[in-house]
Amino acid sequence: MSFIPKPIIILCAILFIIIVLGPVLLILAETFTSMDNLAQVFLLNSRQISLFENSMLVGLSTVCFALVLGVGYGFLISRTDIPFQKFFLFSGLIPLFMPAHITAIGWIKLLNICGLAGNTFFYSWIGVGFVLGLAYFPFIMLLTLTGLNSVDSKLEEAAALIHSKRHVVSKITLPLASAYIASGAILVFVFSVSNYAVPDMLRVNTYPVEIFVQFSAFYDTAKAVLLAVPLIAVCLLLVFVQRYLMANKSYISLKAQNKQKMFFKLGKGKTIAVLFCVLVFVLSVGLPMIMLIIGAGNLSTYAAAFKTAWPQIRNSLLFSFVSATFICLISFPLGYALARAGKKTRLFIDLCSIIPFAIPSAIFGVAMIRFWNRPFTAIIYQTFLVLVFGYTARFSAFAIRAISANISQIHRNLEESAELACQSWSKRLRMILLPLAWPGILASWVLCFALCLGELGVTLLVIPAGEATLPIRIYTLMHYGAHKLVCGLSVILVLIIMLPVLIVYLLYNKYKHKLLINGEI
Amino acid sequence: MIELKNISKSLGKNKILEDISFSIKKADKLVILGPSGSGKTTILRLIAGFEAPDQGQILFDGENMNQIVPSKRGVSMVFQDLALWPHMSVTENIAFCLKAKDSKAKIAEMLNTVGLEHKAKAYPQQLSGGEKQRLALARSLVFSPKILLLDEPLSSMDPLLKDDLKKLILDLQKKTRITMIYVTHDQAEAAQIAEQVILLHQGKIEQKGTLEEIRSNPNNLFVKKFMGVK
Repeated sequence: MSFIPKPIIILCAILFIIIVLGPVLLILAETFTSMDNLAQVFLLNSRQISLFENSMLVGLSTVCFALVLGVGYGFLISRTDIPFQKFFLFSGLIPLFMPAHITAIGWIKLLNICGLAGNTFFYSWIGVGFVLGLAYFPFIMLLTLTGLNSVDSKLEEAAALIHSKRHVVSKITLPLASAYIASGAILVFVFSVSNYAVPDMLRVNTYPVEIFVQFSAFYDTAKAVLLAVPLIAVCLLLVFVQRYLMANKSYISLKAQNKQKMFFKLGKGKTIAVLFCVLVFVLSVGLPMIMLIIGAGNLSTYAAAFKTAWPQIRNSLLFSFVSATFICLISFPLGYALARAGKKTRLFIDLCSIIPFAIPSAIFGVAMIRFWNRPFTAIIYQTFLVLVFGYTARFSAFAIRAISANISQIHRNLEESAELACQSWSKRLRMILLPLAWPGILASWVLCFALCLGELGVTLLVIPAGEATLPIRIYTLMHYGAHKLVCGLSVILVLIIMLPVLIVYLLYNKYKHKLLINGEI
Repeated sequence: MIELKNISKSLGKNKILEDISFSIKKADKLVILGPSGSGKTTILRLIAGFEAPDQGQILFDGENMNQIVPSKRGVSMVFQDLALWPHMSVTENIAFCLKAKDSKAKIAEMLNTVGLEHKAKAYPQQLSGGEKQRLALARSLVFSPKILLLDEPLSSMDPLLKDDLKKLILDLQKKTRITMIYVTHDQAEAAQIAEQVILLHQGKIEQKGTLEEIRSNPNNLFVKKFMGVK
């Protein structure tokens, strides 16, 4: 813990508690101070049951789609001789950066073109599960990849002396990687039941949609929070299970095929495997994007989109840049402490940083309003700072974990030898830790930047007047029926998100030989 | 003089070290010998200040070091895996340990001493095993520490290279008159490095003395077996 002084870590922990946990704890406390409210949680009326049913169906269907795509995709990249592995690895990551509601807009457009507007099959939990499955499968793919890479090859080789490869995979490899896959499935479930935009667009009444309605239509905070209690409880339980499954495990490994591991020659199946990966890309990115491009029509739409929505584009870029930078600034010391501090500090940061995963964005939005809407915090609530804090609340947990995972991979001896040789902590930080940890910090920054750019749930609720972002503009225009402009702006949003991702991917490929840990973040 | 007085250390319920006491005079050499898991590295980590003892005192020239941070102890360490900074060149690895004003001359001198002048701009991953060892040694000695700790530095070397490096370590120790504590599990290596040996087993000192004394008068069955005395 000698690279970052304790006061800095404590300061960041206080900021994290105030910005991330403070608002949620406040509304929970406000809601449950009344016994009547407390009693309502346990009242199971038909509305509650229907909400619970819808949300669970959305969650489960999303997990099913994402598991089929993610495990298959991860296995093909990691353990087979599929061609274009690097390309498929990159293309499999793209949906992670594409906002789910943009994928939904693309698919809605496709249905409209096919004359299936309002199709009851698609406008149901199945459709929501399908779209969210396409958006979230990279989480399962990444964790499958990491899990498969983490399996000790000797264990497989020992089994391969007795059984066929297929048998080894089903009895040794997949069971050993199952904690990672299950952990990915839990994350996808939690993210899907907390998603507001896609169920809203496909008219499925889930908890986040109802919370938003309760709050925006009736301004009833208590009811909104009470509604969310079962959802928060389920999500909290699941994230704790996920934490248990992933204890002391790395979250992400960006290695494609590992030559030292047992791998399969696809033979005639190569074409089918390639078609599978292409199909996944087409469904999750290609088709929605083509629909949006067709929907936007000619270039004049983009010119008009830029002209009319330039303030929102500028706001999105500015707010996301500031937010991602702020998130990384407070997440770096906390991620470092999570990797290096004593047991109690690690447990404290670990528990604090997994709670945000279980809180739906709509609840974060409501909580931010209750927490910051006070005369003495007007400088925050009435400016874009409230958005920066909102994004920090939603996404800092990702950054803390990614940075911590990266720092855990750096051998402690590298820090200890610097500690013996140099008394200045700032010199040690600048010259040893930062250069070694930059892949994790950069990856976190890009991930947070992309997530902030596409964020809708919190933004819709807390956006200060005159500070609308691009997703808000798209969402509003959708309700006015300006389809061409919606498509044009959606394409622009995806391009803006993908540009830094592409730059970082190219930089990573160029300099990865200089990294301490090849591909581990 | 370095003095360890009644040092005990536990990790959870596991006792790593129990009532360890020994001392070493300035400019002397000491070998800590013992099988894997006997607590050898933990002793080095306690002296360096990476870990604090549960009980007992670590004294440098009579001054209690228990509360002193590693960077202020004047200790240097060659780690088992060498811990060379992979993002820095050979020169940068050495320069990091120095203040800017006197670094150039000292780096050149040190590179010359360990025979790495021709690799000054190379990165650790471009060096051979022996060159990495030399760099680790150079980095540990360049800022003139009072104590040098070596944690099985030659464990992964082939015999020919081992002899070369042993000679270099001993030459440098003699030249700099640095106090040196050397950890190994290899008796032959211990015999070549220092006269004074501490034999450690399950966190306890089984015997102290010269290797000859230990061999001729083993305290117990473990010492007898470990030293191969019939």
